[in-house]
Amino acid sequence: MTAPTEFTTLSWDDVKEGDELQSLTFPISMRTLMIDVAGTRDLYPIHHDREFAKGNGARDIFVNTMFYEGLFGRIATDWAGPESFLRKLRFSMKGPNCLGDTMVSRGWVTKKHEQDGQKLLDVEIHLDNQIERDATIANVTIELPS
Amino acid sequence: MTQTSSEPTTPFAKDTEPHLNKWGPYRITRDEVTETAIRRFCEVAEDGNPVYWDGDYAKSTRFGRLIAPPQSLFSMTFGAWWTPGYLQQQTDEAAAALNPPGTELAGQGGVHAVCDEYGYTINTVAGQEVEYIEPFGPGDGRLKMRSMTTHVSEEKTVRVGKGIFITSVTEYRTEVGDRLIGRSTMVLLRYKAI
Repeated sequence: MTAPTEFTTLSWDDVKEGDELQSLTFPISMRTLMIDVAGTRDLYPIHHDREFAKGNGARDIFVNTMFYEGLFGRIATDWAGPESFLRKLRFSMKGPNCLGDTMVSRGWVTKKHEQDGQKLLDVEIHLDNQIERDATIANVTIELPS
Repeated sequence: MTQTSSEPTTPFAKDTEPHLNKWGPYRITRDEVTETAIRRFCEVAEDGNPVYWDGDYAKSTRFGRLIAPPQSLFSMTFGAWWTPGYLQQQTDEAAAALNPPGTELAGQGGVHAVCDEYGYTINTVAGQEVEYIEPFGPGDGRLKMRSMTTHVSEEKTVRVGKGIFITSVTEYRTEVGDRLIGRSTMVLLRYKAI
Protein backbone atom coordinates (compact mmCIF):
# COMPACT_ATOMS: atom_id res chain seq x y z
CA MET A 1 0.00 0.00 0.00
CA THR A 2 1.26 3.47 -0.80
CA ALA A 3 1.12 5.87 2.07
CA PRO A 4 -1.39 8.61 1.33
CA THR A 5 0.22 12.01 1.01
CA GLU A 6 -2.78 14.34 1.09
CA PHE A 7 -3.14 14.17 4.87
CA THR A 8 -1.75 16.94 7.02
CA THR A 9 -2.02 17.60 10.73
CA LEU A 10 -2.70 21.06 12.09
CA SER A 11 0.03 22.87 13.89
CA TRP A 12 -1.09 23.91 17.38
CA ASP A 13 0.63 27.28 16.97
CA ASP A 14 -1.49 28.08 13.90
CA VAL A 15 -4.88 27.45 15.55
CA LYS A 16 -6.83 30.27 17.19
CA GLU A 17 -9.77 30.15 19.56
CA GLY A 18 -12.90 30.67 17.47
CA ASP A 19 -11.52 28.83 14.42
CA GLU A 20 -14.29 26.86 12.75
CA LEU A 21 -14.33 23.20 11.77
CA GLN A 22 -15.69 22.27 8.34
CA SER A 23 -19.37 21.32 8.50
CA LEU A 24 -20.45 17.74 7.83
CA THR A 25 -23.88 16.72 6.52
CA PHE A 26 -24.91 13.15 7.36
CA PRO A 27 -28.33 11.79 6.32
CA ILE A 28 -29.68 8.85 8.36
CA SER A 29 -31.06 6.10 6.13
CA MET A 30 -32.04 2.55 7.08
CA ARG A 31 -28.64 1.53 5.66
CA THR A 32 -26.94 3.98 8.08
CA LEU A 33 -28.74 2.39 11.02
CA MET A 34 -27.93 -1.16 9.82
CA ILE A 35 -24.22 -0.33 9.51
CA ASP A 36 -24.49 1.29 12.95
CA VAL A 37 -25.71 -1.99 14.50
CA ALA A 38 -23.12 -4.07 12.67
CA GLY A 39 -20.16 -1.78 13.34
CA THR A 40 -20.85 -0.79 16.93
CA ARG A 41 -22.27 -4.18 18.04
CA ASP A 42 -25.27 -2.57 19.75
CA LEU A 43 -28.37 -4.76 19.39
CA TYR A 44 -30.63 -2.68 21.62
CA PRO A 45 -33.97 -2.66 19.70
CA ILE A 46 -34.63 1.07 20.14
CA HIS A 47 -32.04 1.59 17.37
CA HIS A 48 -33.42 -0.90 14.82
CA ASP A 49 -37.01 -1.91 15.75
CA ARG A 50 -39.42 0.89 14.75
CA GLU A 51 -42.37 -0.58 16.64
CA PHE A 52 -40.29 -0.94 19.82
CA ALA A 53 -38.94 2.62 19.52
CA LYS A 54 -42.36 4.20 18.94
CA GLY A 55 -43.91 2.06 21.68
CA ASN A 56 -41.35 3.49 24.09
CA GLY A 57 -41.94 7.15 23.40
CA ALA A 58 -39.38 7.75 20.63
CA ARG A 59 -40.23 9.50 17.34
CA ASP A 60 -38.62 6.62 15.42
CA ILE A 61 -35.48 4.45 15.60
CA PHE A 62 -32.39 6.60 16.11
CA VAL A 63 -28.58 6.44 15.96
CA ASN A 64 -26.94 5.10 19.12
CA THR A 65 -24.33 6.45 21.51
CA MET A 66 -21.44 4.77 19.70
CA PHE A 67 -22.53 6.34 16.43
CA TYR A 68 -22.08 9.76 18.03
CA GLU A 69 -18.68 8.72 19.36
CA GLY A 70 -17.64 7.68 15.87
CA LEU A 71 -19.06 10.80 14.25
CA PHE A 72 -17.65 13.34 16.72
CA GLY A 73 -14.25 11.62 16.62
CA ARG A 74 -14.32 11.72 12.84
CA ILE A 75 -15.31 15.39 12.67
CA ALA A 76 -12.47 16.21 15.08
CA THR A 77 -9.69 14.27 13.34
CA ASP A 78 -10.89 15.08 9.78
CA TRP A 79 -10.24 18.67 10.77
CA ALA A 80 -7.14 18.31 12.98
CA GLY A 81 -5.39 15.60 10.94
CA PRO A 82 -4.21 12.00 11.40
CA GLU A 83 -1.52 12.79 13.99
CA SER A 84 -4.04 14.46 16.28
CA PHE A 85 -5.35 12.34 19.13
CA LEU A 86 -8.71 12.50 20.84
CA ARG A 87 -8.16 13.04 24.57
CA LYS A 88 -11.67 13.67 25.82
CA LEU A 89 -15.17 13.33 24.50
CA ARG A 90 -18.33 14.40 26.25
CA PHE A 91 -21.74 14.86 24.76
CA SER A 92 -25.35 15.31 25.69
CA MET A 93 -28.31 14.18 23.66
CA LYS A 94 -31.12 16.71 23.89
CA GLY A 95 -33.12 15.00 21.19
CA PRO A 96 -32.63 11.93 19.00
CA ASN A 97 -31.43 11.87 15.40
CA CYS A 98 -33.91 9.47 13.80
CA LEU A 99 -34.37 7.50 10.59
CA GLY A 100 -34.96 9.99 7.76
CA ASP A 101 -33.33 12.93 9.59
CA THR A 102 -30.29 14.73 8.22
CA MET A 103 -27.65 15.80 10.72
CA VAL A 104 -25.60 18.91 10.03
CA SER A 105 -22.59 19.73 12.22
CA ARG A 106 -21.23 23.09 13.38
CA GLY A 107 -17.98 23.23 15.32
CA TRP A 108 -15.44 25.71 16.61
CA VAL A 109 -12.42 25.96 18.92
CA THR A 110 -13.44 27.14 22.38
CA LYS A 111 -10.07 26.98 24.13
CA LYS A 112 -6.40 26.51 23.30
CA HIS A 113 -4.29 25.36 26.26
CA GLU A 114 -1.40 23.22 27.47
CA GLN A 115 -1.59 20.65 30.24
CA ASP A 116 1.06 18.16 31.41
CA GLY A 117 3.15 19.05 28.35
CA GLN A 118 0.28 18.30 25.96
CA LYS A 119 -0.82 20.82 23.30
CA LEU A 120 -4.61 20.78 23.57
CA LEU A 121 -7.61 22.25 21.80
CA ASP A 122 -11.10 22.21 23.24
CA VAL A 123 -13.67 22.05 20.49
CA GLU A 124 -17.45 22.28 20.65
CA ILE A 125 -19.50 20.48 18.01
CA HIS A 126 -23.27 20.81 17.58
CA LEU A 127 -25.50 18.55 15.52
CA ASP A 128 -28.71 20.04 14.18
CA ASN A 129 -31.39 18.18 12.26
CA GLN A 130 -34.37 19.45 10.25
CA ILE A 131 -36.60 19.32 13.36
CA GLU A 132 -34.34 20.39 16.17
CA ARG A 133 -31.36 22.73 16.52
CA ASP A 134 -28.67 21.46 18.94
CA ALA A 135 -30.10 17.93 19.01
CA THR A 136 -26.67 16.78 20.23
CA ILE A 137 -23.81 18.87 21.60
CA ALA A 138 -20.28 17.54 22.08
CA ASN A 139 -17.22 18.88 23.84
CA VAL A 140 -14.04 17.34 22.49
CA THR A 141 -10.43 17.80 23.57
CA ILE A 142 -7.91 17.17 20.81
CA GLU A 143 -4.16 16.79 21.39
CA LEU A 144 -1.81 17.93 18.65
CA PRO A 145 1.82 16.79 18.34
CA SER A 146 4.24 19.19 19.99
CA MET B 1 -45.10 8.67 57.56
CA THR B 2 -42.33 11.03 58.69
CA GLN B 3 -38.89 11.15 57.10
CA THR B 4 -35.62 12.88 57.92
CA SER B 5 -33.61 14.43 55.08
CA SER B 6 -30.28 12.85 56.06
CA GLU B 7 -31.16 9.29 55.06
CA PRO B 8 -32.48 7.81 51.81
CA THR B 9 -35.95 9.33 51.47
CA THR B 10 -37.60 6.81 49.20
CA PRO B 11 -37.71 3.02 49.13
CA PHE B 12 -35.93 3.21 45.78
CA ALA B 13 -33.02 5.24 47.21
CA LYS B 14 -32.83 2.90 50.17
CA ASP B 15 -32.66 -0.17 47.93
CA THR B 16 -29.95 1.22 45.63
CA GLU B 17 -27.74 2.81 48.31
CA PRO B 18 -25.82 -0.37 49.30
CA HIS B 19 -24.72 -0.84 45.68
CA LEU B 20 -23.02 2.54 45.23
CA ASN B 21 -19.26 3.30 45.03
CA LYS B 22 -18.02 -0.29 44.82
CA TRP B 23 -15.94 -1.57 41.90
CA GLY B 24 -17.61 -4.42 40.10
CA PRO B 25 -15.65 -7.36 38.71
CA TYR B 26 -13.31 -7.04 35.74
CA ARG B 27 -14.82 -8.25 32.54
CA ILE B 28 -12.73 -9.21 29.53
CA THR B 29 -13.73 -9.13 25.88
CA ARG B 30 -13.96 -12.39 23.96
CA ASP B 31 -11.98 -11.03 21.02
CA GLU B 32 -8.74 -9.14 20.60
CA VAL B 33 -8.70 -5.68 19.01
CA THR B 34 -8.23 -6.41 15.30
CA GLU B 35 -7.86 -4.44 12.11
CA THR B 36 -11.20 -5.89 10.91
CA ALA B 37 -13.08 -4.73 14.02
CA ILE B 38 -11.50 -1.27 13.60
CA ARG B 39 -12.58 -1.07 9.95
CA ARG B 40 -16.14 -2.09 10.76
CA PHE B 41 -16.33 0.62 13.40
CA CYS B 42 -14.92 3.20 10.97
CA GLU B 43 -17.58 2.27 8.38
CA VAL B 44 -20.32 3.51 10.74
CA ALA B 45 -19.42 7.21 10.64
CA GLU B 46 -17.39 6.85 7.40
CA ASP B 47 -14.12 7.74 9.14
CA GLY B 48 -11.22 7.52 6.69
CA ASN B 49 -8.42 8.55 9.07
CA PRO B 50 -5.37 6.67 7.66
CA VAL B 51 -3.96 5.83 11.11
CA TYR B 52 -6.97 3.50 11.49
CA TRP B 53 -6.80 2.02 7.96
CA ASP B 54 -3.27 2.00 6.56
CA GLY B 55 -0.63 0.17 8.60
CA ASP B 56 2.30 1.49 6.54
CA TYR B 57 1.16 5.07 6.87
CA ALA B 58 0.40 4.63 10.58
CA LYS B 59 3.97 3.37 11.19
CA SER B 60 5.29 6.67 9.86
CA THR B 61 3.25 8.70 12.38
CA ARG B 62 3.96 9.44 16.03
CA PHE B 63 1.74 6.46 16.96
CA GLY B 64 4.22 4.12 15.26
CA ARG B 65 1.54 1.54 14.43
CA LEU B 66 -2.04 1.12 13.29
CA ILE B 67 -4.35 2.25 16.08
CA ALA B 68 -8.05 1.92 16.83
CA PRO B 69 -10.12 5.09 16.95
CA PRO B 70 -9.99 5.89 20.68
CA GLN B 71 -13.73 6.59 20.45
CA SER B 72 -14.33 2.93 19.48
CA LEU B 73 -13.60 1.85 23.07
CA PHE B 74 -17.28 1.21 23.91
CA SER B 75 -17.93 -0.73 20.73
CA MET B 76 -14.76 -2.79 21.18
CA THR B 77 -15.89 -3.80 24.67
CA PHE B 78 -19.53 -4.52 23.82
CA GLY B 79 -20.76 -8.02 24.62
CA ALA B 80 -20.40 -10.61 21.84
CA TRP B 81 -23.60 -11.60 20.01
CA TRP B 82 -23.14 -15.36 20.24
CA THR B 83 -20.39 -17.57 21.60
CA PRO B 84 -20.16 -21.38 21.71
CA GLY B 85 -20.43 -22.69 25.25
CA TYR B 86 -16.88 -24.04 25.53
CA LEU B 87 -15.41 -20.70 24.47
CA GLN B 88 -17.72 -18.73 26.77
CA GLN B 89 -16.44 -20.86 29.64
CA GLN B 90 -12.84 -19.96 28.74
CA THR B 91 -13.73 -16.26 28.64
CA ASP B 92 -15.54 -16.52 32.00
CA GLU B 93 -12.53 -18.28 33.52
CA ALA B 94 -10.19 -15.58 32.18
CA ALA B 95 -12.39 -12.93 33.81
CA ALA B 96 -12.71 -14.86 37.08
CA ALA B 97 -8.91 -15.07 37.32
CA LEU B 98 -8.79 -11.25 37.37
CA ASN B 99 -11.18 -10.90 40.30
CA PRO B 100 -10.94 -11.57 44.00
CA PRO B 101 -13.90 -13.64 45.25
CA GLY B 102 -16.93 -11.52 46.19
CA THR B 103 -16.63 -8.78 43.56
CA GLU B 104 -19.38 -10.38 41.44
CA LEU B 105 -22.11 -8.76 43.50
CA ALA B 106 -20.68 -5.24 43.46
CA GLY B 107 -20.65 -2.79 40.59
CA GLN B 108 -23.52 -1.99 38.32
CA GLY B 109 -25.47 -5.23 38.49
CA GLY B 110 -27.11 -4.46 41.83
CA VAL B 111 -28.47 -1.04 40.86
CA HIS B 112 -29.85 -2.34 37.57
CA ALA B 113 -31.60 -5.21 39.33
CA VAL B 114 -33.29 -2.68 41.65
CA CYS B 115 -34.37 -0.59 38.61
CA ASP B 116 -35.91 -3.70 37.03
CA GLU B 117 -37.80 -4.41 40.25
CA TYR B 118 -39.28 -0.89 40.21
CA GLY B 119 -40.27 -1.16 36.53
CA TYR B 120 -37.61 1.16 35.06
CA THR B 121 -36.73 -1.24 32.28
CA ILE B 122 -36.02 0.98 29.24
CA ASN B 123 -32.43 2.27 28.89
CA THR B 124 -31.16 5.32 27.16
CA VAL B 125 -27.81 7.06 27.55
CA ALA B 126 -28.43 10.64 28.70
CA GLY B 127 -24.81 11.75 28.61
CA GLN B 128 -21.26 10.57 28.90
CA GLU B 129 -17.68 11.74 29.17
CA VAL B 130 -14.72 9.63 28.14
CA GLU B 131 -11.06 10.30 28.72
CA TYR B 132 -8.67 8.53 26.33
CA ILE B 133 -5.45 7.98 28.23
CA GLU B 134 -3.34 6.06 25.68
CA PRO B 135 -3.77 4.80 22.12
CA PHE B 136 -4.64 1.12 21.70
CA GLY B 137 -4.76 -1.18 18.71
CA PRO B 138 -3.99 -4.61 17.24
CA GLY B 139 -1.27 -6.26 19.39
CA ASP B 140 -2.79 -5.15 22.69
CA GLY B 141 -4.83 -8.35 22.99
CA ARG B 142 -8.26 -8.26 24.52
CA LEU B 143 -9.65 -5.40 26.61
CA LYS B 144 -10.56 -5.49 30.29
CA MET B 145 -13.00 -3.19 32.02
CA ARG B 146 -14.63 -2.67 35.39
CA SER B 147 -17.35 -0.27 36.55
CA MET B 148 -18.95 1.24 39.59
CA THR B 149 -22.14 3.21 40.10
CA THR B 150 -21.43 6.51 41.81
CA HIS B 151 -24.84 8.21 41.93
CA VAL B 152 -28.52 7.43 41.51
CA SER B 153 -31.05 10.26 41.11
CA GLU B 154 -34.49 10.52 42.61
CA GLU B 155 -37.39 9.26 40.53
CA LYS B 156 -38.09 12.05 38.00
CA THR B 157 -40.62 12.92 35.33
CA VAL B 158 -38.89 13.07 31.94
CA ARG B 159 -39.98 13.69 28.33
CA VAL B 160 -40.59 9.97 27.67
CA GLY B 161 -42.12 8.98 31.03
CA LYS B 162 -40.86 8.55 34.56
CA GLY B 163 -37.25 7.63 35.19
CA ILE B 164 -34.01 7.42 37.14
CA PHE B 165 -30.62 8.86 36.15
CA ILE B 166 -27.74 6.53 37.02
CA THR B 167 -24.12 7.76 36.99
CA SER B 168 -21.31 5.23 36.65
CA VAL B 169 -17.56 5.18 36.05
CA THR B 170 -15.76 2.57 33.93
CA GLU B 171 -12.01 1.90 33.53
CA TYR B 172 -10.52 0.22 30.45
CA ARG B 173 -7.22 -1.67 30.27
CA THR B 174 -5.31 -3.69 27.69
CA GLU B 175 -4.74 -7.40 28.24
CA VAL B 176 -1.14 -7.12 26.96
CA GLY B 177 0.85 -4.88 29.30
CA ASP B 178 -2.17 -4.07 31.49
CA ARG B 179 -2.15 -0.44 30.35
CA LEU B 180 -4.92 1.94 31.45
CA ILE B 181 -6.25 3.28 28.13
CA GLY B 182 -9.50 5.00 29.05
CA ARG B 183 -11.93 6.08 31.72
CA SER B 184 -15.58 6.94 31.18
CA THR B 185 -18.39 8.49 33.16
CA MET B 186 -21.86 7.72 31.91
CA VAL B 187 -25.30 8.98 32.87
CA LEU B 188 -27.91 6.44 31.95
CA LEU B 189 -31.64 7.08 32.05
CA ARG B 190 -33.73 4.06 32.97
CA TYR B 191 -37.42 4.78 32.52
CA LYS B 192 -40.94 3.51 32.16
CA ALA B 193 -43.16 5.05 29.48
CA ILE B 194 -46.36 6.65 30.79
